[in-house]
Amino acid sequence: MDKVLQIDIDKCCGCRMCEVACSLKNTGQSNPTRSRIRVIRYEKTGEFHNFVPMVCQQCSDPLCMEACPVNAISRNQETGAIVVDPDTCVGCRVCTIACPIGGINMDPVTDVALKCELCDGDPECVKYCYLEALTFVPKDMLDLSLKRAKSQKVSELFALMQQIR
Amino acid sequence: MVNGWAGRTLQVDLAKGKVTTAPWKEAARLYLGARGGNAWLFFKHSKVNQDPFDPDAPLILGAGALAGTGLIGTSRMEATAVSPAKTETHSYGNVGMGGSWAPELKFAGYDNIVIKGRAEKPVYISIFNDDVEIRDASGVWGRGTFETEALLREELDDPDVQVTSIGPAGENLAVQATIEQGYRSGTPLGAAMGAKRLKSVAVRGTRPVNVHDPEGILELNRQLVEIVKAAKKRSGISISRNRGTDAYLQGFLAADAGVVGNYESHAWRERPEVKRAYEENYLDDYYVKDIGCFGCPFPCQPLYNVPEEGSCIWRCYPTYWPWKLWMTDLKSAFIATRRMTDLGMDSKEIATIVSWLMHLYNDGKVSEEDLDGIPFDRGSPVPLFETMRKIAFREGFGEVLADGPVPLAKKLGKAAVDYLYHNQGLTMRTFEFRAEPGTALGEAISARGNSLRATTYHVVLWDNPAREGYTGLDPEESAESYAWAKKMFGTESAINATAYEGKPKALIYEMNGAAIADSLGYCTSMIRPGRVGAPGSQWGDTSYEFAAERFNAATGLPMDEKGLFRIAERICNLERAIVVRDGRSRETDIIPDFFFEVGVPDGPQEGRKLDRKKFEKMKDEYYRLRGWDLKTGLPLRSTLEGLEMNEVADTLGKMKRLAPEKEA
Repeated sequence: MDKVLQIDIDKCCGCRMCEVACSLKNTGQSNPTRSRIRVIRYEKTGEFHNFVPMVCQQCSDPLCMEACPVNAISRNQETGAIVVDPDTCVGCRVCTIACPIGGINMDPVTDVALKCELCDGDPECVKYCYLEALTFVPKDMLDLSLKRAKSQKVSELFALMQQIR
Repeated sequence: MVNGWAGRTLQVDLAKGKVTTAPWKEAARLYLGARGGNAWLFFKHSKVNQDPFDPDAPLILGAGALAGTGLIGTSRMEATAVSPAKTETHSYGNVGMGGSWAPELKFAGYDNIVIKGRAEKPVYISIFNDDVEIRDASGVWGRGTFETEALLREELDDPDVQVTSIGPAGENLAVQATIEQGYRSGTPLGAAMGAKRLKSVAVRGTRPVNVHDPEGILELNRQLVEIVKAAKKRSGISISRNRGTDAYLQGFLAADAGVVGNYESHAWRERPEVKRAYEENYLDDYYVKDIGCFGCPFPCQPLYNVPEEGSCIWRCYPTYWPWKLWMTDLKSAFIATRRMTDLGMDSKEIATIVSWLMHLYNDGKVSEEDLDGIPFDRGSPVPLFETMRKIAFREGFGEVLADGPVPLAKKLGKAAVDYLYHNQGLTMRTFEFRAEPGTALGEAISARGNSLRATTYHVVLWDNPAREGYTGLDPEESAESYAWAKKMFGTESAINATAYEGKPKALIYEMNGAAIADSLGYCTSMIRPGRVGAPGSQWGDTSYEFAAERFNAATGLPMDEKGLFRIAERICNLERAIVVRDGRSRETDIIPDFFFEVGVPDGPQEGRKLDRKKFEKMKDEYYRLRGWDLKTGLPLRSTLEGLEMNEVADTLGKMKRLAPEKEA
């Protein structure tokens, strides 16, 4: 069954362990610059610290794939991941323009498109995300945990209202 | 190709505007990086008994040997300089910080930076891989550390730049000033940076850190995540201190181990307002979330937000300094912590100074007239806010106080001198040395003094008195700890806080562990050899073996417990050599007489004080175990040479600062 990389930004602590794991696994070096997932930090020390992990969401209708003029991008039917064939990719960067969420970028070393390919169906990054900002969930369970977390507040409010009445 | 390290030292001369690099290789093998590496660079670049504000005095910023390798919990940096609170017994200051600065430096391609010279006008150093610039800092000089970080990120047009800065306190050369990075800081070295007219070091790196065995690192990381998950299942507590549920704090409250006022009381937990302050408003009123360091998925720094003021980290140390001020108003404590971080000053130093003045004021030894008209009432936040500002900007009594508490004490008179308990010009930490001989020994002997990290993690040593009502340690763990102590140090009492027996050996084990953690850049809660089976051991194995295995995966160099212990011995001996070079000896390995003369006033340790004879006996044993001369405390040539420190031995030998050689 297809599984999906789910992000819960409320839980991200900005440690960038996912970047480290991704680069160690895929490049053999510790190198966030070449990580396929990046934690974008919105920080003002003394005021706020917010973190948004950005990674390819393996769109159901991938614009990068449509846009690629040399057909280097395809879907791996087994894992559901959108993958780049580095031998076919010419590094034109059209995919990076087409992607609506910044999920694909250029590898500064190989000069071809670089994106999360779900580590052949066993993504490395989620294994270190202790706070579960990243989880790898079956497609039909997607977003359920987010719904559960958000519904908790409603549930508490509901209980409170019951008491007041 | 170098694995683990970047292999380069960056050298910046601010007076000449010159930037060069040097290889970081041979010393790396001997001293690793961060604290150990910095000590070596300090030894090479500093002069004997150098003035802290000598333009040529080196300021060294170093990343841990394993920073940036991807191993969980290795993101610490260390700053080293002549301590601005320099006294005749004290020359050397170093401080560790977590955050993201150290890995960023490694990604830029450097292990450490040696900064010398004084700039003509305020500057900051900007590092982007090979591009290193000394830039004009007039736009940020005078600003707080928070704003400085934001402005430099804007100026350099990169939100990912990691910035370490001083605030106004450092610019004004206050000895209490810190070097701040994110929210993390420690022993005050801000004035050493301010004296160079150096505001910040901004780093950005986009390069890889090479590692020997990437799959091995991932595997070790996976294991650690599983261990923490299992610990959470077992105990319900995942990360000590997160959400503010501070293991230390709970232990301290339960055991009355914390010091109230200026060593005036221990009875604190019975007070209902304390209970409410710490158990209720502490957590719920201001808590936002936990944030942490680069490459650690177990964030342990609770971020608090006070409306209209802003947010700040409020972690272990700040949770107990309010006691020194009899404060239960934690809102003011949050605000004070945030302002001190922004001004770039050490909360422990400021709080202890205020505590001392409060004590004097309460006893009628000083009046408002002595203190610019400010009433130093117990529990009031006003003197705290006023004192920090006055020191940072050198106003009123802050002018003298910014040079340290000793000069102000001398000015205020005999009572002020008598009431001031300090070690080497800096105030004492919040520990009850009278009930903890091991902690006292560490405080007296450690090179930089005045420091938890360089001395001992006293929590494990508090086991016995803390046992009752202390929820952090279950009986099974306690039995295990004692068995371990017996095996390691020959006696169970080695981990009993109030005992003298076995302490020197246990202390060396702990101090060496801290030296290794600080030099690898490891979070001390992860490498904490003396804490096997103690609270906080949610990491499972915190031994040297843990570190050795990881060091090997990153660097490819063979390593085991023995090897690391030897490196730690070398680092501690180098630090000793530095302070001995500058004048330290057995007579100055001391803590104030107060702790030997006045008993604990109340609480479970009532009446306890240090025993001079037993204390000196511990010193004998400590020196013997370290290979130092019993009479003088100076290292023996054979000790240094046995640790491949011939150059250090030669330097000390020429200065006649080696112990006379005889059969030890």
